[in-house]
This record gives sequence, C-alpha cells and structure tokens, in this order.
Amino acid sequence: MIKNRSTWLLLTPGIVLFLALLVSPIANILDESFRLFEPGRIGAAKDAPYTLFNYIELIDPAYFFYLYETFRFGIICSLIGLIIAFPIAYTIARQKSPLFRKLAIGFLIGMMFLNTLVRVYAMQLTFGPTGYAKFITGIFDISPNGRTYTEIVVMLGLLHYLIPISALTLIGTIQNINPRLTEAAQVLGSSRLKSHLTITVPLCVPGLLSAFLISFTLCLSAFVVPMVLGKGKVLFISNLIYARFSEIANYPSGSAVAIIMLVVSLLTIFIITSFVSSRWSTK
Amino acid sequence: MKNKLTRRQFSKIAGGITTAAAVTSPFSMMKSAFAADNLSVVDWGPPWIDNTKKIASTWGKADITWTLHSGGAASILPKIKAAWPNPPYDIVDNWSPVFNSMIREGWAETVTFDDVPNLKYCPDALIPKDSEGNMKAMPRGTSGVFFTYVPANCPIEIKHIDDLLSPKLKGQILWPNPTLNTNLQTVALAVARGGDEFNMQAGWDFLKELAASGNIGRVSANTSDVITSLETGETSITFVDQGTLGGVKGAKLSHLTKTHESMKTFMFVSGWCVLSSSPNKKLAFDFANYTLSKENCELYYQDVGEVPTHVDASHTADHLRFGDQADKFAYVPDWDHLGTELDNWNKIFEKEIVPLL
Repeated sequence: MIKNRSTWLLLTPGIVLFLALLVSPIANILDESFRLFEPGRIGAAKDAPYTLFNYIELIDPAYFFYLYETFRFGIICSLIGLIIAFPIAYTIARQKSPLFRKLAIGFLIGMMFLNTLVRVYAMQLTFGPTGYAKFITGIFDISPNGRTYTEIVVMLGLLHYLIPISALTLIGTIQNINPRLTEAAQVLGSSRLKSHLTITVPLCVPGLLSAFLISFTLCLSAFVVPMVLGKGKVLFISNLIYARFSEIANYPSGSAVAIIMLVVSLLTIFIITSFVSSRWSTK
Repeated sequence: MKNKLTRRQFSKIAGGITTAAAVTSPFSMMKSAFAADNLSVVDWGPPWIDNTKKIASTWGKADITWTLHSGGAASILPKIKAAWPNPPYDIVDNWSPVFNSMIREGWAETVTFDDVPNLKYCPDALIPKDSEGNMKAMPRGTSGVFFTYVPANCPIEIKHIDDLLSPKLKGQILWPNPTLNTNLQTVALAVARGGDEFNMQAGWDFLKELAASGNIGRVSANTSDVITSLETGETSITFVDQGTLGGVKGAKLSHLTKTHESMKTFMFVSGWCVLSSSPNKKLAFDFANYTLSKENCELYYQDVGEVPTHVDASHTADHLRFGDQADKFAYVPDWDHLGTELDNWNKIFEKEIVPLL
C-alpha cells in the first residue's frame, strides 16, 4: 500500500503535466472541430452549435490528394534518409578513433541544433533562383519553376534534417551488433555485400524501424520546409492546418483537419510497427 | 568492443552542445522582458516597418515594441483572439478588409477628432466606420492592388489579361495565395470575364486555365515572397499592392493599372486601428496622430508609395490617379463580402487549383 502510494506520488507531477500540456489541448481541439464556423468570424463563437460539417467537407478527393502527398513525401524521404544515414552511422560506429567518433557525433548533433529557418533558407539560396537552380535544371532540361524541381528541392530540405537524426538513431543499434558475426560470414566465403545484407541489416531492423518512424513523423509534421521550398505548389496537411488557423481563422475546420491527421498518422505508425515486429520477431 | 561509444560518452557530447546552445538563450529572453510596458505596434515588414520606425524615432514619447505581420494581414486576428481580452498589442497597421473584421469583433476603439486631430485632414469617405457611424480606424494611405510586371525579365509585353495564358510565360507568374489581398486576384479574373466578387465562377475557371498552363511559377504566401521572387527574376508578373512593391528595389516594374480595362486596380485604405483592449490608448492615438501629419504622410508616400490620406500632402503616384477613368480602370470591392467569403475561396483554391499547379 505504502509502495503504491509513493508510486502515485511520484507519478502525479508527470500525470498533471501530461493532462495539462497534451490531453487538455487535444480535447480542446476535438471540441472545436465539432463547432459550427460562421464565415468572417475569428474562430467559432462560444455558444456555436455542434456539427459534423467540418469532417464531412473533408471527404473530398482533393483532401485525399493532400494526405497522399504528405505520406508520399514522408515515406520517400524517410527511406532515402535511411539509405544515406545507414553507411554514415556504420562508419561512425565502427570507427576505431574515439576522437573521430566524438567529432562525427558532435557534428550530427550540431546539425540538429541548426535553426529550421536558417536551414531552409540556406537550401533556398543554394537551390533557388540565386543559386544553382538554372544550372541544375539546365542539365536535366526541366523548368526551375516546374513541379518536378520543386518536389526535389522540398525533399532535399527534408533530408537535410532527417539524415542526421536517422544516423544518430542508428549508431546505437549498429554498436550493439557484434562485428565478428559479419567477419565470420566473410571467413566462410560470403561476400562483403552479402554478409552485410544478410547479417548486419536484419539485425538492425529494430533500429531502422525506429529511425524510419522518427523520420516519418517529422515529415508528416513538417511545415516550414514545404511552406518555403514548396513554392505554394507542394503543400502538406500541416500547411492546410496553418492556413485555417492563422490566415482564415476557421479554427473548427483547422481542428478537424488536425484530428484527421493525428488519427491517420497514429494508425499508420501502428500498422507499420505491428507489421515489422511480427515479420521480424518470428525469425 | 574497445571502440564502442558508451552511453555516458554520448551524453557528454550531447550535453556539451546543449549547454552551449542554452547559454545563448537567456540573452534573447532578457531582450523581450525589457520591453514589457512600451507601446506595442504591429506593422508589416519593409517598407512599412522602416517608415514607421523612422517616424517613431522623431516622435520619441515612448519606447515601442514592434511586431511584424506574418503571412496575410488577417493573420494577426487569431493572435488577438487567442489573447483577448489582453492581447499584447496597442495599435495595429492594417487595411480595409481586416478593419471590417476587427470592427465586427468589437476590437477597434472608437476614435474622435479630439483623439487624433490630424484625422480632420483625411476625407471622411475614407475613414472606416462601424454600423453606427463611429470612426474606428485612421487611414494613412489609399492604394491599390493591381497587376504589375518586370518587362526586362518577361518574355512578352502584357497588354491584356488574356496574355497571362500565353505559352511563352511558363513559370513566369507569381500568383498570390487566396489569403493574400483577400483573394482580390481571383476577383480580378472574375471581373475580367464579366463576373465580380459575388459571381466568382468565371474567375475560378480562368484561374484553372492559368494553373493548368504551367505559367504559375510560385504561389506567394507573404510580402517577402513577392519581393524576393521579382528581384531574383524567378518570376516576372504578379498581382500586388503598391506598398509591397515599395520593397522591390532591384527590379524595374511596369504597373498595369491603365493598360487595359480587363486589368482592374482594386482600391483600399490602410492605416492604424487602436485596440479597445489597449491600456495605452492615449499614447497610441498620439502616435497615430503624429504619423498622420502632412510631413509624415509625405514621408509615408516616399517610402511606401501609397497615396497619402492627408489632403494637403503632395504625391506623384500617377499610376494610382484615375480621375474620370476610374470607372474603366478602378474597382472598389465589397470588403465585407470578401471577408465572409475568404474561408470558402481558400477551400476552392485548395481543392481545385493547387492540384493543377
């Protein structure tokens, strides 16, 4: 009983903070999402009636398009991020020099501290009209203001953040794998590539999944990158939410989009996690 | 396993970098704390803020905390709403459609000629009022939103609104997001094809053609998008207000205000609105009054380019002086209607236009 009481006592500050900072705002958003919005007003009136309209209007192919776009960028960028981050993480984790490892990890962490706006505007300067846009698009014979190039620049903007975070997540996983397993495979005649693909990569699956989910979640909530680099052509769900809250003041509709996004994201992450863990836990 | 990085080592590296980053943050916090009791002014970015700061430096009756509009001018409304009845602003620089929203919400303090004597020099018709005729805002300038382009970067000469559909203009158009200019750009297309703000289908059809043509190179979300895109040559044609163009220094523009009647100029007023919640109303009115003097109105015109509201202030904004051609080239929309339609128009833009870009 005493143990129980002290446990609850220790948990109370955390629970209070959790309720105040997470549950309460989400409950507020949920309530707002069912309120009727009167055009021209700032948000819903205090006594606005409840309605399903804010959700019903989202059942439109155009909004599936935005959801698809957000997820498409999220999946592609997270996978590319993993492919690039894995060798980086592997090199750092297997590096013999402690100084090099410290410098490399310090560099990756430093990249995380880089202000998002600085990062994004640096990308715009580099790949925009004052940078190499004309040169790059000239090589591929595409328009610097066309959709293809805009999507590539948005992906680069996302990867700028995703690669360091994926690499940092994977370093720990790779370190926990005994390098002698791969060495043994190679001694027994397996090629370097095959030994890595059949031993290192499968053993890294939990870490790869974590890195993917972190990257994917960051992509889904990305706001500044598509806003600045997307030229208004590439819009994520977060941009729609922002426009409703900050530009139009239609809080109920913005809340409905936010709730839909939250539910779909949680479902996706749950499905991916369940699939990967069932697939690999049986082996 | 000798070379394995321990959790402690990892924490040490991360901790070192975190500490370095954290050490710098208290200085920025101190900066905002010092500004607690000053007059709090909301303004747009350059050229407005530069001009207002210049005028404020000669006013000198109080320190000023500056806040910039981010995105469209209406984006200040949710911030006021979220903090109401104690928003951290005393006086807001804004324009016709947003004045209407602020008046409707009861946020705009009534102003009298005793509060702001220089308002007597502003034509009565230009002063925004509530339904009972109380004056609610103090216009600094009258201006227009219109089509303009950079002839040096534009592949063709623009003579008619249909020229925007020319195949030679691939990626050349900077199209404002519907939240900018209260979507007057689409109203302009509607008017060009026989519609108006109450009958917008023709405008949306035109915009669909434009989006499908590939001529829209960027959708601008704020004034800096406009300035950067035109100055760097990324795009060469846009629909924009005179004040924003005041910030474009590196590109020579040709304004299409009197080129053809298919390209209308939408007239509006911009200026100050004192919040009814402000604890510094007297100071705010005094500041507004100072900016509305003849000299400061002329300075406003020089820096921002909007036609000053002070009847005696001189200006040479000939492209916004229509005289007896006003019916042909100028258009005054129903601002109240625009404000109530913006939500719907933004959704149409999201659903029907963006997927075509």
